[in-house]
Order: sequence, then structure tokens, then C-alpha cells
Amino acid sequence: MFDMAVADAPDSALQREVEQLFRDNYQMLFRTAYSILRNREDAEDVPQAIFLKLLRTGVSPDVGKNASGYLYRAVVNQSLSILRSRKRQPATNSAELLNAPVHADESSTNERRHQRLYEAMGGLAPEAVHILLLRYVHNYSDAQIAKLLGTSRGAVALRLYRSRARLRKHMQSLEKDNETR
Amino acid sequence: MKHGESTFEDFLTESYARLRELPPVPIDAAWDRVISRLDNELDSASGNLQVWVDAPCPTVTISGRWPALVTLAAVVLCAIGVSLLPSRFSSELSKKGSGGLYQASPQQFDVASRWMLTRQPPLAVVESKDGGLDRVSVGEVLNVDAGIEANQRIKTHSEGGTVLRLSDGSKIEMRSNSELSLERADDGVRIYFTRGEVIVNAGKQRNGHLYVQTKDLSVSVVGTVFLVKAGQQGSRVAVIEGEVHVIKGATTERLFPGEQVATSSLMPARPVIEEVSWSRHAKQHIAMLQQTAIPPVTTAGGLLDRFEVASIRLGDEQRSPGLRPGDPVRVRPCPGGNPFEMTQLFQLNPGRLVMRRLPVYYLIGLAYGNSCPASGTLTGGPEWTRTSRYDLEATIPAGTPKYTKEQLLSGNAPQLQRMLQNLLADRFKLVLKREVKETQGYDLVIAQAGKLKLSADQTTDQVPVDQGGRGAIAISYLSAPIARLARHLQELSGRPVVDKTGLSGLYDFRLEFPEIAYPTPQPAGAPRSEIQPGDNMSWVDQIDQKVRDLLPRKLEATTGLRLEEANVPVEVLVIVSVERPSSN
Repeated sequence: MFDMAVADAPDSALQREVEQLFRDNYQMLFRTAYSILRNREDAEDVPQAIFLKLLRTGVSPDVGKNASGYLYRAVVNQSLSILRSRKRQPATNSAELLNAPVHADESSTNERRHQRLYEAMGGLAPEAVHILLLRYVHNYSDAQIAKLLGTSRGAVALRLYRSRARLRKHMQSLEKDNETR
Repeated sequence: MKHGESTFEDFLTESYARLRELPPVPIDAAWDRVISRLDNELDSASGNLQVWVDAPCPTVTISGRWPALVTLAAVVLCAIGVSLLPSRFSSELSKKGSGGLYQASPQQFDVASRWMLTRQPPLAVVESKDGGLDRVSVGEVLNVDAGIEANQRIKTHSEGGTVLRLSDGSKIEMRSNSELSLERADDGVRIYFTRGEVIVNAGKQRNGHLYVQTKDLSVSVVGTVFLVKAGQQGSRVAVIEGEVHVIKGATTERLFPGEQVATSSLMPARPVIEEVSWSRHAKQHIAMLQQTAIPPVTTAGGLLDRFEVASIRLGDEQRSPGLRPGDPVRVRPCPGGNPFEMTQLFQLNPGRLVMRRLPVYYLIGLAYGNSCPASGTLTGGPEWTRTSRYDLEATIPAGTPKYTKEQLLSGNAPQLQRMLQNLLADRFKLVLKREVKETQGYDLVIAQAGKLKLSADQTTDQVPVDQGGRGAIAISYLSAPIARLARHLQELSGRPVVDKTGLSGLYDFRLEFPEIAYPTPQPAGAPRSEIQPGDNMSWVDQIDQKVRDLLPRKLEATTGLRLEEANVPVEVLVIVSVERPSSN
């Protein structure tokens, strides 16, 4: 009388659909996760975990309407969540930072500013990170951003301006905190 | 746009420019990994049904004519099922009191509830931890007693390690900054180890195996204690107790206590006793290693690893450069005099090993993974082991892994080393014992961060080259790991050096000694240079001494690294007995 519900293998049509989405989006998603996490393994893991979930649960019609936008948002949100959990660590993995690629001609001041940017980005709302990364990491135009995020060009321009201002303010406050320490 | 805003936008554009230059990632391999993770989940789910047939609270679908009765039955079965939780969880749950489930900690309840919801028992639980531990994909902090399920990547933080316990009783001690995930294999559990160091104490496997997989090797065991290191440059396995099979590509090697093997010369060997010093159970591991009888060790079928043919005879000292008949021969410290770096004295081809005019002292060091023993790390034995030189010519049997000279010198040629160990036991009647003692050495630490620059080439290592030539001395390191520098410093100083920098990349740097000049032929009547051949101390020894004197200052100025005097634990090989060989 009981049928144990065993996790079934995804049907081949679903697997093909998800694989196509993976091939179309993975490079962009990896770069997105890497720009937040600055760690190759974590950056590979985040989109892979999201596609694994799609294979388990299927692609819902809502996702299917704008799959790239859904995947991009999911990767940003998940990466931010990992980044924030990292901040709870009492110490930084100095070895990993030292191994990060550093241009020989970069001054330490510049490097500190880049580091501050990385920290500040982790403190912004996901919506602000969505738009900032699309512009500065992926070099998207306002129109491309509007299409991916499902909004208007005017809204993109306004949100971009506000997000940049918030990021700048957040960086300044981090710098002040650092000076007072 | 305001001026400040425009500058900030430029900064953002410039700052993220590096990310836009990231090379594309291999997409096929990434997709394969997704599918492999999915397959593992499906395997474990179906395997679960057979093993956990009494699993409580299964997801049920109701069919038939009596849904209400069936629902009631499901509820009753669920309630019974809780009491039938697998023994390891029910014992965990009841450990803190007689109330069982109601006495369990939130973490223990989490283990049980996850198990019930997913119908998959966790593969391991967190037994204890000294620092932070995260489930990486979801950024969740794990506490003691938390369960770890298949395919979840976990990571220890920088401030301490952790111990995981598998369901078969095996324990995995993770060092700080280490990362792994667990997967179900066909006949056991696979630890997929991506970064850091672990010591695995494998419980007796009743039917299957425990596997450890890194990016470039696989280890299978049935009950033993061993250490695995994994990094960007490669992997290393070292055995503390029992026997381990290491699969590298198409070859499989068997390792015994005290032996180790690496996939890359970028991971030079340190004695196993020193490698395990970070463990909270270091004393027990060291005691196990000290109990190990050293030679001879047997391979499959009880056969010894032996050379096909081996000839040992007293070397012709007449041919030794710079020596006259009757000159006393003494063992010099290795700098500039490591006898294995002279190609005319040491050749290793796939079928043949030739070493000429070599004191037994060095031969023992080579056989036991330390081609240039630091002061006090190989002791005992009569004076002739350091002064009499021998020629060795040996034929290596077919089927032996093809080792390079560098692998043998860095202690990464276990089968060839065992052949040398057995040769020493047969011909020199050598008996050794292993001890640990604290000796005066150095810790290599970071004094000024940022002076070392990462090499543009992070894939290949090049042996340090004395590039001074005539007139000056300079040692260049190109794409070199810090472990190589530490080993070289140990050779130069004659004292053990422990790398405590925590740096794991490859670096370029050059140590220059313009103050020291090689002796050059001087025209008659010219003023005598400071170092001259024929002085009481040989000119090579004089150069070595000067390099040793200048080294700490040069090292810090050039690399920002410092040698700090420290008492460090070192593995010491003691020669208990040895005899001169009869000529063959």
C-alpha cells in the first residue's frame, strides 16, 4: 500500500533543457560568483549547486520565462550569503589572500582600496549588487541590464546611480572605521 | 555627473577590469561535476532503500481504497520509526540522558530531522572542533554533533581544525584551512579532498573501502592511519600505521609506515614525524611511527623490493676531484657539496642506478627520504660510515615505477627507496631505529609581508640555480614553492628548517652575494684574493661559510622572510649497527 518516494533521475528532456541553460550561462555565472567570493572553488560551486537544484526540482514556468535573470539573481544571492557567513570568521585566511593574483606594479594603497571595495560590496543589498556587477564586471549596457532584470532602462539608470552612491558611502565608512582602529 | 562620481566610476571600471580578463572555465568538466553530484545523490538514495528499510517517516504516497486507514498506519509507523532510528543516531540521541529524543541537543536533533526529511543518513558527524567550520555551499556554520551529508563541501577556518566521525568509526582530523566533501562510493565512502591537510584514522572496513580522492591521486585503505595533503601544486600521502594503496594515474603504489609519496616535486618531503606535528594526537602518531620496525619491508606476497643486480665496492678515491691518495675524506655539510647534485657521481635511468664515491651516511639518508641529512638527524654508527666512499651500480627490475632523480632526492620514490633500504640491510647489515628529539633549528616566518612576488608561471618549478658563475654568487629561484626554499636553507645552514610562512604559491626571487667572489686565477704579482684554493679550509667550504654568515640578512632583505632560531621536533634516524660489506 505504500510507495516509497525515491528521488528519480531527471528525465532526459529536463536534463537537456538544464544542460542548455548551463552551457548558455555558466561562464557568466562563474564570473559573477568569483567577483563576489574571490575564490575559484567557491565560485564554481555556487552555480553548480543551483543547477543541481534545477535538475532535482525541474524548471518551473516562472523560471523558464527569464531563466538567465533567475540564475544570475540566484548566484548573486547565494554568493552574498556565503560571503556574509565568512565575515563571521574571526581571522582571515592570509595565505589565500597572499595567493590572489596581484599585479607587481600595483601600489599597496590601491590594493587596499580594491580590498575595501570587495568588503563594501558584501554589505550592499542584493538588488544593488545585481546591477553593479552587471555594469562593471560584465560591462552590460543599460538596455541589456533592463532586459536581464526585467525592468525599464530608466529604472536601471536610477538604480545604478543610487547603488553606486551607496557603495561609495559604504566604502568611505569602512575606511573611517579602519583609520580609527 | 559630478567630478567625484566620475572618478569613482573610473575606479570601479578599473577595479573590475581584472575580472573581465578572467580566462573562461572549462564548461564540460563543470557540467560533468554537476551530473556526478546528481548521480551520487541518486545512488545514495536508492542504496538507502535497501539498507534503511525501516526508515521512519518516509515520504508516502497513498493509494488504494482506504486512505484514512492508510494515513493512520503511516502515522503509527512514523512514530515507531523514530524509535527505530539507526543505532548510531539513537545512541547519539540518548547519550545525554534517558529521555532519548527529548534529551538531545539541537544539533543532534538537526542530525535526526535532516535524516528523516531527506531519508539519507549523514555520512559523518562533527565530533569536536577547535575553530570555525562551515558548510560552504550554503554558508552555514556547523557545530559539534552536526551531520554532514553527501556532496556537501565543508571548510575549516584559519584558527583551528576539527574532527569528523564517519558511520564506520573512522575519524578524519582536518587541519585549519582545509576543505573536503564526502561522497558515497560503490563499496564505501569517498573523501573528496580539495585543500589543506587531513589525518585519516580509518576504522576496520567490514566489506568495503574508505577512499580519499584529491585532484591528482586516490588512496584506498581498509584500516590504517595516514596523512593527506592537497594544494594547488599537487598532493602528498604519508603513512603512520598500516598499509595504504596510492593510485596515481595508471600506477598503484603501496606505502608503509614512515613512507610517503607526492604527485609533484613542488611538495618536498619532510619526515612523517614532523608532518604530523600539528595533530592533536601527534604524540600517539609519533609513538606508532617509533614502534615501526624499519627495514626490511615486504610487498605483496611477502616479497622484498630488491634490485635485480647490485654491486657495491669501495670507491676509487684517486678519481675524486681535488683528492690525493691518503687524503682524509670527510662528510661536508650539503651546501655546494650535496654529492647527488654532481651528475658524474649520480645517475638514475629507468633501468639503472649508479652512485660513485658515496659515504654510506648519504646512502642511508637517500634510502630513508632525506638526501641531505641536517645536523643531528642521522646519528650513530662508526666513523667509516662518514669517511669511506663506495660505488654502487644497480639494475632496477622491470615494472618498477619510473622515478626521476628529483623524486628520489626529495624522498618521493618509495619503491626505489625500499630497494635501497633492503640493499643496506643485506650488504651492510644495517639496523636503524627512529626517534624524535627537539633540536636547535629555525622557523621560517614572514617578517615583512608583500616583498615576495608570485611568479607569473604557477605551474612549473625549477631547481634553484647557482647563477653566479665566475666572480659572484647568486641563487635564483624561478616559480619555486617556499617548501623548496626551506629545504635549501636547511641544506645551507645544516640545521632543520620548518616552514611556518603558510605561503602556498610559486615565487620568483634571487639571493645575491656580491660580497663573495669565486677564486679566479691571478696573474703573477697580483694581490692575493680573500679566498684561495689550497688554504687550510677548502675554498668551497670557505664560500659555504660566507654564504651561511650572510644568508639571514640577505633572505630578509630580498624576500621579507626571516629565519628565527627555535627548538624544533625532528625525526632522527639512529644507526644501531652496521658492518662493512664484503666485496661481491
